Amino acid sequence: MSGPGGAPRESACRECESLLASYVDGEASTADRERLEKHIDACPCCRDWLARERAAQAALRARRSSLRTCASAHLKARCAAYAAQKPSVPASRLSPAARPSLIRRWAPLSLAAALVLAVAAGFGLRLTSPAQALALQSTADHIKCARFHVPEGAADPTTTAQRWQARFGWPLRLPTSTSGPPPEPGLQLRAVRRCAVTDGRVAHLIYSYQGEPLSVYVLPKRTLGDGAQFVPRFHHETVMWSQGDRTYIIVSSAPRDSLSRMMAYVRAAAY
Amino acid sequence: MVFRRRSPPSGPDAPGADDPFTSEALSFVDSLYGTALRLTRRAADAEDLVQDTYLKAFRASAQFQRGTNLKAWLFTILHNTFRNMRRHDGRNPIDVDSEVVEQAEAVGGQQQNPEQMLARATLDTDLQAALDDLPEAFRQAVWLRDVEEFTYAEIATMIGVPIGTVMSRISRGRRMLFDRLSKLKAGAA
Repeated sequence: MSGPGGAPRESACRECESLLASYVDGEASTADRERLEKHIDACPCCRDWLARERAAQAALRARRSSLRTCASAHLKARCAAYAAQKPSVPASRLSPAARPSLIRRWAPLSLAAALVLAVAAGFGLRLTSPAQALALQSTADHIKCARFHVPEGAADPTTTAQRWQARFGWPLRLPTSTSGPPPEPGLQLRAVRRCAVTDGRVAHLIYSYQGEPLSVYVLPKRTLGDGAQFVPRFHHETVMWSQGDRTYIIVSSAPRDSLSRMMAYVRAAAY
Repeated sequence: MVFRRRSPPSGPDAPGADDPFTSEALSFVDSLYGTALRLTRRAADAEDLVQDTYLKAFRASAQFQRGTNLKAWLFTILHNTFRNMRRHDGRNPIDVDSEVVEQAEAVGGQQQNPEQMLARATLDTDLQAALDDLPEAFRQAVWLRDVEEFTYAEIATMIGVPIGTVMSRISRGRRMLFDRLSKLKAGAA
């Protein structure tokens, strides 16, 4: 069997298939439409494909409005609150030459972190090290989560760690009352979430610490040195370091000595 | 124990309708959520995805070129965020298994009078179930075209594939959808 113009059938059908969507949508050119119709008249297989595609398209479009799902008022409110994250300086005022060089400089960081750097440059934040970029990114996420993601009740560390491993494939060693370092007074685990703001592989442990929200970010890779680096950002204190094959970042508005105690606790627990 | 949460921004500096970028961007939240729900198939994940999309969009708002399609720009961020999340998630990797696709297309290919058949009161729940059952790449292409009404070129930019691939995925995705609906109808009969 041959297609129009004596072309091999398979070739003609392949060409037909490539035009079907635009034909069904009424967007094929006159020449394509005529060529396709000629082929379809002679090819039962492509005729069947066309009928099936047309039927599905019609069903979808007829029910378009009922297929759409409205976001909850709660979600809309949270998204609206993020508008506060808009930079006040237009991109045109950023030096075009500066943006790529910033991204090259921070190549070991995620692309998202590089984006933060570019935006931060718009804020005039004068970031001078990867630690400062991480501090900015994690502090912004901590503030966001303290506002929206903190459950009231305590989370069970054992169950939480098991769920994390099952879902994301790498382990978190969360201390419990019977394992790990002595419990830190006033510290309570509230939740663990994946932090998609960075590169999607960061565990964000949300704690209550002496009545204030405190975040511990665990990255499953070594990004910094062993020594602790303290970086203040947005009226919050951040401390970060790498230990083994992990990198830890702690963010809180608590005083630096409280953060130091938490750092000692996390170092001993080696999440 | 209750956290002392900061209140959302309010007052003259709060984001509001007087900011055209913000108000236009927020007008697409339903579309973004519906699409996120089709992509993730879980309400909690869809909400996370939409929130991360807006957070990134507002932070990068200075990079948006005025006069271009804001909805398409937001959807591009949504898809990139979703792809990034999935890449690091380890679950359900994004794949286009051509063999599975061909097998799926072979099933139900002999149906008669397809338009008449589907015209008989396809339930919305059936349609949603059939859509959710499509392989991700096809579900995405069909949804963006037939529900969100994007052009082929916009979809190609959004998901980072050539226009020809977009058209092919739409075409195959629709036929697979038809076959799944046919199966659902046959099962209900």
